[in-house]
Amino acid sequence: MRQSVFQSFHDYCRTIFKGCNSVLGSFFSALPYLLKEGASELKKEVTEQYPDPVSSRTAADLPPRTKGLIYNEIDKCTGCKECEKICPVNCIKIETDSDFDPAKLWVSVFDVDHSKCIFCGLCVEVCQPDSLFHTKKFEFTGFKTQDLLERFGRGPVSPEQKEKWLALRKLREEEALGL
Amino acid sequence: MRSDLTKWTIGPFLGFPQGFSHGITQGPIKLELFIDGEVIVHGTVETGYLYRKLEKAIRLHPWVSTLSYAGRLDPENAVFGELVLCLAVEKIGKTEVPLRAQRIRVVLSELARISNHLSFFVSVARTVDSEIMAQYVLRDREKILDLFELLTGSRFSLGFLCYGGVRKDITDGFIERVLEVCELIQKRIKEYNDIYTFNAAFIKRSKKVGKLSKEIIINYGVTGPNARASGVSYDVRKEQPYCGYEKIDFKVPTGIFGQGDPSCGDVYHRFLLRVFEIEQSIEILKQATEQIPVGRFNVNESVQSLNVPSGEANARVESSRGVLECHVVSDGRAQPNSVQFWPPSVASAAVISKVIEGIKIEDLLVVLASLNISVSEIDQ
Amino acid sequence: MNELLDVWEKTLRISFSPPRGVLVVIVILFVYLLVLFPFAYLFAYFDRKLTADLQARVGPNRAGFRGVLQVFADLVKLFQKDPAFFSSGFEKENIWFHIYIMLLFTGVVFLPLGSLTLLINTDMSALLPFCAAFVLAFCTLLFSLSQGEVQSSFGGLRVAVHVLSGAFPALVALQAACLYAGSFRWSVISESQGVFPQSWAAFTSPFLFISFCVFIVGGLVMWSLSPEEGGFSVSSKLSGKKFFIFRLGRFYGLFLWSVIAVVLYLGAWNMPASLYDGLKNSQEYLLILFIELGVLLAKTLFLMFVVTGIVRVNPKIRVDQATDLSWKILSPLSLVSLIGTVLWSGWSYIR
Repeated sequence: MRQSVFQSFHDYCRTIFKGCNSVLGSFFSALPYLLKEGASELKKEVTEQYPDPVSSRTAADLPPRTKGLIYNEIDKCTGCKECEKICPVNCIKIETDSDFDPAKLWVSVFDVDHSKCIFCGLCVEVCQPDSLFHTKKFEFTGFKTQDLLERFGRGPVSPEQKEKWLALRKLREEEALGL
Repeated sequence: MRSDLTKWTIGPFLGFPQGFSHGITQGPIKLELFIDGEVIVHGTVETGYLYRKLEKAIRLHPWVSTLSYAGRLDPENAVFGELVLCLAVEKIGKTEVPLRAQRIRVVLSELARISNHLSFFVSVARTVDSEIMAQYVLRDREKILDLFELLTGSRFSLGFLCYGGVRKDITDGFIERVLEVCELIQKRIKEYNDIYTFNAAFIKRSKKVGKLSKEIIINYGVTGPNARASGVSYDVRKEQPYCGYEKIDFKVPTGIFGQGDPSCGDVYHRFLLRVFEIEQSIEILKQATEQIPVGRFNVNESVQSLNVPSGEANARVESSRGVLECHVVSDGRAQPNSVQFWPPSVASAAVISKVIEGIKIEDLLVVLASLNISVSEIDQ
Repeated sequence: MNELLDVWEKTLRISFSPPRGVLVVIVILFVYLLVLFPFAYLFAYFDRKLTADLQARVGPNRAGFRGVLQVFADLVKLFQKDPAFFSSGFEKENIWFHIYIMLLFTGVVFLPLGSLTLLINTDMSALLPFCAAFVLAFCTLLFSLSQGEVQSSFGGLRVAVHVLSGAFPALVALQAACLYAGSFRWSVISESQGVFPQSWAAFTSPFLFISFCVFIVGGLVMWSLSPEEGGFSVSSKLSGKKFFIFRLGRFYGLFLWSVIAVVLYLGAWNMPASLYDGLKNSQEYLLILFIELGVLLAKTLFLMFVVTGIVRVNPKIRVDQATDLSWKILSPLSLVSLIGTVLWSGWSYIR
């Protein structure tokens, strides 16, 4: 079906008008962003300079549940290895030794490989003595992957130390028996 | 096949040798196109460059840790991966999830849906070189990510759900923040419509491009917004409600463009449908936040006290890309026997070779972006 | 041209009379050092700020006060870059690349930047920039085709198509404007217009306003799709310091276009006649030069801002749609404006 000439001409003009209208309309809708300098609703900084002490957010501004780098308070740690078992990516490595106190364990190695860590927070949840927690620290870089390995362990117990402890323990036991 | 066609291979890796500089597929994908001038005659898709042995990795770890892997199924909306695994495992264990936890799950998944649709806008806007729209949307999406951070401590891979509920209770003031963001996004959507959705140039780029007919949708099994834009009304939230969606009054925007519309199911409709879906999500959020009851948020005392009996279950959720299905087999051990996912992007990716037939090369990116494919989901 | 160079000789207060060629070089150097480079710098800075504002960002804010030195910093960074490219891209240089550069830098002689820098002021001078644009596009086309890759040849062909389709309505619009002025000579065109907006060509008749709009949009069609287009064309390979020249070419094209539009339609470099005569009688040629430049560049900057603002907000259309736009809408409109201007001028002549 052919349209009449006037109809086509009318449609043609309408197309042009609508196109111009829409293109300029979009421009004018975006114009308030340009003109209203400092209007709180529209003018918002999106990208913040990151290493900038003035404007960027510090760790204190992060919400309380932020999952930052993992930290272990080794004094509280019992070396139960629950976190090592539950870790989905096996980034925690624990080795224990017998302590001076036989009820406790000497945590000689407690390595968290932050290059593997996915910050799921499972290890923190299973930690019974609450020694493991997320800090708000999020800056952790290094030139080698080795640099991202954080060691919390107390180090291996030397043989002399072991002998010393053994002797001390014997002494205590004897004292206890003697009493 | 004609022999005089030029063969052009794109991808699989970013910028090498000639690949996507747009992050529209969120992962590497390889396209082999046969082009006649500027028109693509036919093409094939190849995936598998992001294979991570997800199913095997899940089998090697205790039940609790599997959720972290499920969240990595599709990093863009981690909630749905976790949710579907939770639902399946809870079916095996016949766990009654507390109502409070169900509502929190609904809030989280609707927020994730809005966030994903907003990033869809970004990718479509970038493909038609409208950086301004991309920046506006990203600015507003940031608010939703802030909400996630406030609640769960992470912005992207949440790791917040657990079997039998959620890991932590909601914080004070979270609900108010959610409602605030809803208001903001409702306001912004109007602005986007003024600047972008009804812009003549955008309509020119997206109308009648990349049409998907109803038959193709049904034959290939495409689900989600892509299917609904073509007039196939299927939404798991309505058909097989989970997490108490049956108590929430909402509409599934389908066929709003009219079944008789010859351009039904093109890029523009897929875009428009997501605008409507965001509005419905806001509606759901408003109702769900009203209905949060007081009570427990988790059936288990701690994460470890989890015992999954032997059994087999299947769960489905409506993720923001379509129907996400999960099949779990447990034999009573500490580790799952098998966990399998059927992600929605597989069908959407399969349909690429159909939808790019006859389009121009310049439209290729627009069409790909409009399908909202996550390669990480496909490759697992 | 001889008169012009006499004026320059007087202005520079040189006791001996140097050869004419040296004077021409001096004028060109003057245009480069005092107009093009600072203006390119300013525009690059303001463009980034404007885009940032429109996108609700802050934009450059570190280098210098409010990021004024950002462009300089980028330039320094550019020269530190390795000319390393992806596997097999634009490593091949050829003759067309060099012709492109030469043409880009000599093209300045066409620029009408004031009554004292009109080096080429002939009866055809308004058409010369079109020739330059054609040759630049031709060089880009051949350079892209010589790379022997699918998407670079696409890019080259697209550039050619855009230039061809945009040039026709723009040329017809130019004819309408020159018809109003009575000549293709820059000096005549500028003299036919006044100082204030009501006597600018674009606002004297509706047809000339249409022709002004057509000229601007046609220019956008010609220049917006230079190799910088995203994704699947030449641009993905045009990184690195050598091929920065193509981006410069795009800026140059937009600048050239805006200057010509201002000269043709928006009152050129005119200042009040009494002021001009007074300065001329007291032989303050340098002052004339700078006032004219200031007037012209202020108008140009404003025009460029409006145009880039509109372009930034709206999505880009496809190649075939752009050519459609210019053949089906711009060309008829430009013809209408040409005929209308003929009738309008004829009517006022008869009356």
